[in-house]
Amino acid sequence: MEDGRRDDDLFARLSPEGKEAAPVVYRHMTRRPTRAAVLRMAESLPYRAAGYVCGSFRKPISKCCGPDDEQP
Amino acid sequence: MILIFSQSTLEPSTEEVMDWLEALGARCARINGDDIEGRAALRFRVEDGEASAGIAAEGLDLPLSEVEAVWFRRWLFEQRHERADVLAEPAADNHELHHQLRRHLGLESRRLSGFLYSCFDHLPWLSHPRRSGLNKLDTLRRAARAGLATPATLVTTERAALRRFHEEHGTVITKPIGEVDAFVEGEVSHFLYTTPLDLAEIDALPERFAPSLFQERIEKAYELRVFALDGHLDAMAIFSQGDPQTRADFRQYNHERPNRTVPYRLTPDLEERLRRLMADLELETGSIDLLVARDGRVVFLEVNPVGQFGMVSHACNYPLERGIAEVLIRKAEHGRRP
Amino acid sequence: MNSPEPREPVFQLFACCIPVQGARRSVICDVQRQSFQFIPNGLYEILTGHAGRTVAEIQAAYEHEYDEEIEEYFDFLLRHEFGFWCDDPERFPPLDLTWQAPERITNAILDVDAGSEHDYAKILGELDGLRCKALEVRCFHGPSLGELRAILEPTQRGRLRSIDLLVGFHPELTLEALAALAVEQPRISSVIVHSAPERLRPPPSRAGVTFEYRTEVIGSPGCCGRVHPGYFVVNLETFAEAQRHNTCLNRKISVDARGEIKNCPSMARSFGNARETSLHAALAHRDFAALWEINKDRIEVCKDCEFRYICTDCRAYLQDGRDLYSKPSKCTYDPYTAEWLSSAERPAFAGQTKGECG
Repeated sequence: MEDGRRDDDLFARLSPEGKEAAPVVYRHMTRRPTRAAVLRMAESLPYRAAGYVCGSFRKPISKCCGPDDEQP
Repeated sequence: MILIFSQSTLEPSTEEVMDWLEALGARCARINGDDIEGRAALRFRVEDGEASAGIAAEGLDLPLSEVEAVWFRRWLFEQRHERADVLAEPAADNHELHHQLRRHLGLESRRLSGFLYSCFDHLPWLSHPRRSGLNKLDTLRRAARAGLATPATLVTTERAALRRFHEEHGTVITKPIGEVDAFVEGEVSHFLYTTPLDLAEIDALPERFAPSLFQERIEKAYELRVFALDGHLDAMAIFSQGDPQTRADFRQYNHERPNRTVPYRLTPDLEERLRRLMADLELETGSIDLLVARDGRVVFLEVNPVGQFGMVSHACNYPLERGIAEVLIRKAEHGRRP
Repeated sequence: MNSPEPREPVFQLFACCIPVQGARRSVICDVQRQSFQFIPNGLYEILTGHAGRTVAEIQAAYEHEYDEEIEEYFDFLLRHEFGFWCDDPERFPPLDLTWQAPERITNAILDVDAGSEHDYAKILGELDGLRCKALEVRCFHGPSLGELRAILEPTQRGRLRSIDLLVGFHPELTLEALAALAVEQPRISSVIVHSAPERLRPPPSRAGVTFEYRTEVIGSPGCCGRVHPGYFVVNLETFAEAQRHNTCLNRKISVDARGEIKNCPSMARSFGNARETSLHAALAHRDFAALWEINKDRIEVCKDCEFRYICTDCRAYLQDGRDLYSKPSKCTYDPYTAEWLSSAERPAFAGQTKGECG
C-alpha cells in the first residue's frame, strides 16, 4: 500500500473520477480515532453466539473488602 | 419453535430476547449469517417438487418443519470474502477481476439467503428481510402522507438549485441518501455524519456534482427515539449538551457528560400518525427517529426496521425485549392454529 | 389538553435523576451517570411537593422568605444537569421502577478453601442451567494458577457474562499471570488478591478488567456484609430492584466451601449439599426465596436512610441477631445524625472470629 498523505481528508485523496462520483457529504467527513474501547467477547454455546458480550455485573455480589479511604 | 435470524457477534438484544422466550416457556433456535458461509452443515434438497432443508451446527438442531414463527433480527454484517484477498496474488492490473469475483460471491450468498427465507414464507414473521432495507426518501414521502412534519428535502446535482434551496430555507445540512457509514483506515475512521453547509461552502462546490441529499437544518430542543412493536409505541427523549432550554443566559456545560436519555410520552395525535406510517410501510416493528424543534414542532427524520433498541429499553426501563418475546410467542400460536 | 398561550416554563427533573429523602438529608440519585449528590431536605420538598410549579409560584409558596436560596437551588440543579426548563411537563413522565428479570438466578457465590472438594463441572453446569450470568468465586486460601484454571474451565462457552475473583495471595499470581488469565478468560471482570504482601492498584486493562492486591486478610465468609460508600451502586436496574427486593440476596444462590447450598455462605441455613443436591432442587425449596423480598423500606433505621436504594444490604450479620428486620451490623452510618461512626465506635460484630478479617 502506498504511503498516502494521511493528513489530508479522505475526499482530497480521491481520484478525479472518484471526486466526481462522490456526493457532497464526502467533502465533509468527520475524522475520529477508530474506537479505542475494547469489548470483551466470549463464545456461548446455549446462545449460539461467537461474540457473546461480557461485562461486569451491575452490583457487588459480595462485600468483603474494607473501604479504601476513611469514611466520608 | 421460534427461529431467530441474527448475527453471531455483538448481539446482546438477541440473547436477551432468547432469555425471555425461555422464561416464558417457548423453544427457540438461532441461526447466524455466518452459518451459511461454511460454519454449519447445510443441506437443502429440492426433488420431485418437494423441498426439504436442514441445518446442522454445533448447538443447533434445526428440523425446519418445527419452526412456527420467525424473527428477522440481523443477518450477515459482512461476508468473509469482502475482507479477504480473494486472489492468491492480487496485483494492480487484476483489480477488475478481483472486483468481479467479489461481486459474484456476494450475489451467490444473497441468493442462498433468499432461498433460506423462502423456506419459511408460509409462517408468521416479525420483520421480514424484504422490508429491512427501507429507502429514506420514499419513507419521507410516506411520512408526509401520514401527516408527519418532515424536513424540507432536496436531492440535486446542481449548485444553482442548492443555492435557491438555501435562500428559501436558511441553513442547510447534507447527509448520505442511504446509510450513515464510516470508512475505517487503521487508527483513523472517516464518518459520513450530517454536516451543515454555509453559503461559502456552497459557493465552493462545482456547478455540477454527484446526486446529493440536502435538508433544511432545524434548531432542535431534543430528539426522540421511538420503538414501535405491534402497534405499541415506546418513546425516549435525548437531550444533547447545551440543549436543555436555559432560563438564564448561556451556560458552560461539561462536554464530557453523556446525553440525557429519559422516557417520553407521545401525544395521542402523534402516536396515531406514527402508526399510520408504520402500517403504510408494512412494518410491524422498527426504531423511529424524530426531533422536537425549539418551536415545539415534532419532525420525523427516519425509521430503521431492524435498528437497535437496547438503548431505549435500558435507559427508560421499558420491557422491550420481553415484549418482542411475547409477540413472537403469539405469532407462533397463531401459526399453529389450522 | 391544549392551551394556546405559551406557558411559563417549570423546572423538570430528568427522570433518571431521582430524589430520595433521608431523616437528616436527601440525595439525588443520577442513575444514568451513576452518581449521587446530597441535597437538603428543603430542596427535596420543593422538587416533590412543588413539582410542576414555576419558580415565582414556589417563592410565593414560601412567602418570599427564601427567594435567594430557591434561586440558588435551581442554579445548583442546572449546573449538575439534573433537570431542564420545560414547557410541557406532561410529556416527561417519571421512570417506571418495575423490575423484572427472565433468569431465576441472577448472581452466585462459590466459596473455595484449601479443603474444598467441589465438583466444578457439576456446580457450574447447574448454574448454567439456571441461566445465571454473574458469578463471584472467593478463595480464602491462595490458589495456584492451575487451580484457578480448573475452577474456570467449565465456564467456557456457557452463559456467564461476568466472573469476579476474590482470591488469596499465591506466588504464581503475579500481575502478568493474572492479566494473561484475564485475556484467556474474557468472562473475568475483576480480580482482587487478598492477604497480599503489599497493596497494588494497577490501571484496568484495555478491556476494562480491574486488578487489585490488598493486604487485608479475607479468611472466611465472616468478612462479608460490609457497608460503606465504596459498595454503593447507582444504576437504574439495581435502583429498581431495590424498590421491592433485597438487593443482596434477591435471586442469589451460593455454594460455601463445604459444598452447602445457601442463600449466601454467611447464612446458617443449608438447602442441601452440592454433591448430592442440585442447585435447581435447592432453589425449589419452599423457603429458599423467603428473604428475597426484605428490602430496605422494611428494615429498621435503613428505611429512614437516604442511601437505602443504593446500598446493597446484608441480612446475614445483623445489629440484633434475633430481629430479621434490624440493620446490618457492619453499617456504621446513622441517618438520624447523618454521620458515620469511626471504627473505634463500631459495635462488635457477631459471626466473625478474631484475625480472619482485615
